[in-house]
Amino acid sequence: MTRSIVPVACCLAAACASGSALRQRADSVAAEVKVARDLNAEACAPRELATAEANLRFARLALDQGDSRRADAHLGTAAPAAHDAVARSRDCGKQAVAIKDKPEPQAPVPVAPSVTAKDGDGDGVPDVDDLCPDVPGPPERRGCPLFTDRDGDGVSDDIDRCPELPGPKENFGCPWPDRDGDKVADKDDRCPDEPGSPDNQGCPHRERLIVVRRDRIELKQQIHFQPNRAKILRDSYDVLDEIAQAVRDASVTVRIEGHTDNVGKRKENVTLSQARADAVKEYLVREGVEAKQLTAVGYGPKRPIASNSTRAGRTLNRRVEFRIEEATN
Amino acid sequence: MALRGTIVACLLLGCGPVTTTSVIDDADGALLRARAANADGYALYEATLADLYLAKAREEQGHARYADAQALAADALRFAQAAGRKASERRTAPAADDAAVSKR
Repeated sequence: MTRSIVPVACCLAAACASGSALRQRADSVAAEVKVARDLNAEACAPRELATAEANLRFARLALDQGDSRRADAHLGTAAPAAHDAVARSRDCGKQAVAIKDKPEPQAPVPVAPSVTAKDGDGDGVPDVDDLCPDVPGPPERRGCPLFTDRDGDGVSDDIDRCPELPGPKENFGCPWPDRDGDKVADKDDRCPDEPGSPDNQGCPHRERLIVVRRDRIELKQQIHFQPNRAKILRDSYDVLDEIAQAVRDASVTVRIEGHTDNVGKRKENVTLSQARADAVKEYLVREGVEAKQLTAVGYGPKRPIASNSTRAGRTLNRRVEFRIEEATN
Repeated sequence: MALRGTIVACLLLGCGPVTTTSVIDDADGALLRARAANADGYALYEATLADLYLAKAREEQGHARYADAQALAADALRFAQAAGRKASERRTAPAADDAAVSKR
């Protein structure tokens, strides 16, 4: 029985002693925090002072809860923070005023921060009174200029949402966004995700896929369909978009002609070529061309442009052509 | 009767976590609002205190010490509100104050 009581008693005694020591440590940290406060640490070292005060409170709470380990950890954070707060505040805290005709010169001189009359920005307001010690400003504004504008964009920092980056006032002092970084702001960029040149509204210059002649639109790339069907393949969308734009801009009437090679039954080929011409017309109408500007005709194998006896010739014969019939206006 | 007693006991026990969570949420919201008003620039002391107290409140809540957690969260809320108020005041104050803050 006695054997078991002794270690427990030892532990309790050690815990009490440890708790007492921690409380003493907390008191000394509290004293340092008070010194920091007196030196105006709330303005000079706000983060350090807050860290010291908060951790001091947490340490005391942990001690009340009987958690010495945690209390020790909090004091370990509070003590250096308080020390830093004092150190940082000594340079910028409230200055002591020296009284020349002090009545009792024998009395011990209180420890106080040294008085400095430095005026770093030379504006006539000593740094101790200067709210802007690095920028000249009149005394009536406590040494600060009327407005600060660090990025020099003409939007004063108090209303500038990007005080470090120049930007127009229409965008609250921030530069206009430019996602593709091509120097053309997204608001003016027709291709905001693709770098391009300013003379092409931020879009890259592309080689044109069509040439508009007097009587026809020449294609540099043939329109592709699914085999034996009238479904346009995606790789032909660009050329069709250009055709649509050209027809819209030129205000002409265009005949869309579908042609096939001579493989298979003639009637089926005519039907297929008509369906393909119709599909192209439908696409162009979807792209904003007026339906009355377009006619679709399927000729089947009637009008070959190459020999159907070779594979290359048959490939050339399977095609869509665009004939310009007349101007609509 | 026993069932009713059990329900009442459960409700009473449940109040601690619920109330604490509510105060922590309030403090969290207040701190977010203060930060949005640039409290880190204009009221760093209050914002730091609110931040630390809020973190500690969450820690205490994690250890199921709801009374302590609630007290810490209430303090965090108070500091966050003070930070928000100070930041708003200083934002609307004359340029001299703003300039002073930007130099810190």
